[in-house]
Amino acid sequence: MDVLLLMIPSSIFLGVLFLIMFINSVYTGQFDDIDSQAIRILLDDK
Amino acid sequence: MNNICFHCGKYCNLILSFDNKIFCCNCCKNVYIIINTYGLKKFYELNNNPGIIPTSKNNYFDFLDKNDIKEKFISFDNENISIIKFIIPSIHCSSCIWLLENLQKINSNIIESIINFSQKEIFIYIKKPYKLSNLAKLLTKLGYKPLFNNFQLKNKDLFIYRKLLYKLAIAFFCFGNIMLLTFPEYVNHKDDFWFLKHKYIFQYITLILSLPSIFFSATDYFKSAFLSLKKSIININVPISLGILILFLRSCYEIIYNIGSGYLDSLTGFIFFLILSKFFQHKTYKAIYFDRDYKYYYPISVTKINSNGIEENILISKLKIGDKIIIRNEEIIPVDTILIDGLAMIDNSFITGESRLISKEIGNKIYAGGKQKGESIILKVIKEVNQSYLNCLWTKKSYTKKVLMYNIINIWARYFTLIIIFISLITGIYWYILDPSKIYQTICSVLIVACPCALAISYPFTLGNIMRILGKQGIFVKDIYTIERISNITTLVFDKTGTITETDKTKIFFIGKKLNNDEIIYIISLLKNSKHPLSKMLYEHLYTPGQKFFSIKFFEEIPGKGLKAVINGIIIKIGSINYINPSKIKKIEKQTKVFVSIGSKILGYFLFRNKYREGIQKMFNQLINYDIHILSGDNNSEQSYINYFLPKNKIYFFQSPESKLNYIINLQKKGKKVMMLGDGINDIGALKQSEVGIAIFENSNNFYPSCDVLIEGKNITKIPYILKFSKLGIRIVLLSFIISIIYNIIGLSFAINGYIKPIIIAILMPISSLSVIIFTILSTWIVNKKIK
Repeated sequence: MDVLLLMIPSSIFLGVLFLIMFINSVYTGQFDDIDSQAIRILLDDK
Repeated sequence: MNNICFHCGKYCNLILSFDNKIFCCNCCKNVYIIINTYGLKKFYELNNNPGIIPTSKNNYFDFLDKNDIKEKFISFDNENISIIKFIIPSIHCSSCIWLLENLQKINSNIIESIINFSQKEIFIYIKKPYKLSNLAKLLTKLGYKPLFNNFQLKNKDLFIYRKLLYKLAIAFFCFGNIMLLTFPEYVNHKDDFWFLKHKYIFQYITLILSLPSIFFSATDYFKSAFLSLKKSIININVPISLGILILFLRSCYEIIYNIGSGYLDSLTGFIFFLILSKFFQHKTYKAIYFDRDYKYYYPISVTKINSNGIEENILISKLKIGDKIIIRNEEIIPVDTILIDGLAMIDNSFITGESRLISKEIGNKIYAGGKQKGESIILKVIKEVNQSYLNCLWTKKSYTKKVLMYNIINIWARYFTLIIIFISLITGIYWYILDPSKIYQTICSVLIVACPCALAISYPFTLGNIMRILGKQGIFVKDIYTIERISNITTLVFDKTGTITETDKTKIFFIGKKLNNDEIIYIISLLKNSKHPLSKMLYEHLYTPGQKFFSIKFFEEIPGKGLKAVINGIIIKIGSINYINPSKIKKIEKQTKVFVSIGSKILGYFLFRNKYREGIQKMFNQLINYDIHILSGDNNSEQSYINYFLPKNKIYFFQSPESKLNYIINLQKKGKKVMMLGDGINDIGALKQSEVGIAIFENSNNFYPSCDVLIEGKNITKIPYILKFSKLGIRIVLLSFIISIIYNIIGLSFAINGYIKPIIIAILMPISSLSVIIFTILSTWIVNKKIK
């Protein structure tokens, strides 16, 4: 069971990593306009 | 597909067919031809009839090539390319996005274009020598005319939105991880030797993880509670902050002294639900600005005539007293001026509410805000922009701010807090007598269990959901507090012009003997040659496809009076009564009338009247329980007509912006809760003063004063529905209050008995929150379906 002492910090570390990635994506404006992306994905490129 | 325009989906009166498709007008047909030529037919495949009729009004874009004006639209610039940012209000569907993002196929000077749908913005990358005016012309030709009004985008809303997202993400992260780490506590761990040995690790990790949730995500609640306590008011954030603090301190105490595991999972879950409810109520319409100032109404630039006679486009802020300016058809006069040259026909409906066009003579004063209809006029500036009449009107009074301090939730919160403090005192005294060692524990338990979680989230969830449902139907509400104010309304005050009548449509009646076919051909042949706005409107009214014309001789147009010509040897005259029959005594006309004479006989006159919106009468019938008033800035020529569908109500004409405002103040003094509906600057004071100010706007002009609710003109008949829906919404809020109180009573019955297990709170808290969320969302949805 002692492996949990390693697993818990590493799982939290991963969680923090994803949190930082999300915050960064908000910071760079990726969530400012969700509507047009939602429509654009349905359109073909050519 | 009968008689439906293939491009714009409107019903066609006169049918133009092309390529086996039907079009309502040449403009639509031309757009189709452009789209077809460049192989962009997919535009029509994505949606049915997605197009917009291109406006033919006011398509003068040369000012865009002036450097200081151009700068306002360029967001990036180097020697080869520049990025242009335009706002295009008519973007509305996936076809629009597709077409506008394929602009490079139509014009090779465009490299790429990107749309921001919610802000209605387009970013266009163009190759350098390409002119902005050409770009604007291209967009206008396709039906996407950019907005060139004088305003700047706010970034404040975006900042608040992002901050809320950060808070939500962090609260969710803390909540999720803490829940996971607390889970072993709830399963039977008494036998697990390893867990008992390492329990403190789990507990300290949860304690550390809870810190960002409390000290970052929940800070707004502490701030608000502190501010309201400073004013010695108890709002909902006071019991919330109290609950959070007690939960946190108690948990710290238990963990540090190794008494228990604390309530950190419930605490962070509570914070997460709170922020979620805040996120839910934070529905903003990014393309809509409820608080606007007068500048928005003005054009960005105006054409000035220099002393040497050269025309030049300058920003309106650079206008000086004594400058000469040109105002073209459909342009707005930005400053107070004197007419120097040309025939001025001013549409003042936004400023004064007058529905008829007012003709001005040379030397007359023309106030800012009017719209010229007809030919170009030359004006001399007599006041600078920020001192003009329109500006003064807008900024004159500081109206009482509509802060709903004692809204329903804060009233409940006050009683709630007092009752909770009372209960905790009673339990404290009770345990003091029975067993003094348990005092702190029980008081803590009472305060923890009484934390008004479900109470706090029911209000934003219910009203936020109502806001969303209304928003989908073209009714844009500023915030959730507005909905509560709507539910209290007792009195409705309507403006006439542009509110219950349509702005751009006039009904034309002929008063006199019915015209025969020949007479119509006479009239229309004469009208065809005139550029006067009334002639044009009349021409469109009388024109039928396949119309014959007579040839005319000796055409003469006297500005401000009328037209005449000789057709088949007979003199035809069209114009004002003084022109047709000068012998009659001069009197001021209240209505717009155009008289016709053929030969020496006066046939009658055409009466131009505003068209009342469809369903207005039905709407007034549905509002029978409300007190209805009509305040019009117009003259009383339509009194009998309004009386016809609105008997016994209070109708006032000749109202100035000031008197409208005073009327509302008087109603409020009598204790009435007033909803004002208006569309123009003349209503601005009344809109700001009333409990709920509703502005009506038309897509065609895209102007509206600052307001609490914004409704598209055709949706005005939904007013009874809005009133009913918000009333029922408040009832739903009250019901969910009762539900959350029941949960609190259950929790309290555990708490006053002494020790409360963390598991009870851990179950009670999410269940109460979730059930309230589900209840509010489902019930608003059902209510909406029922009353629709």
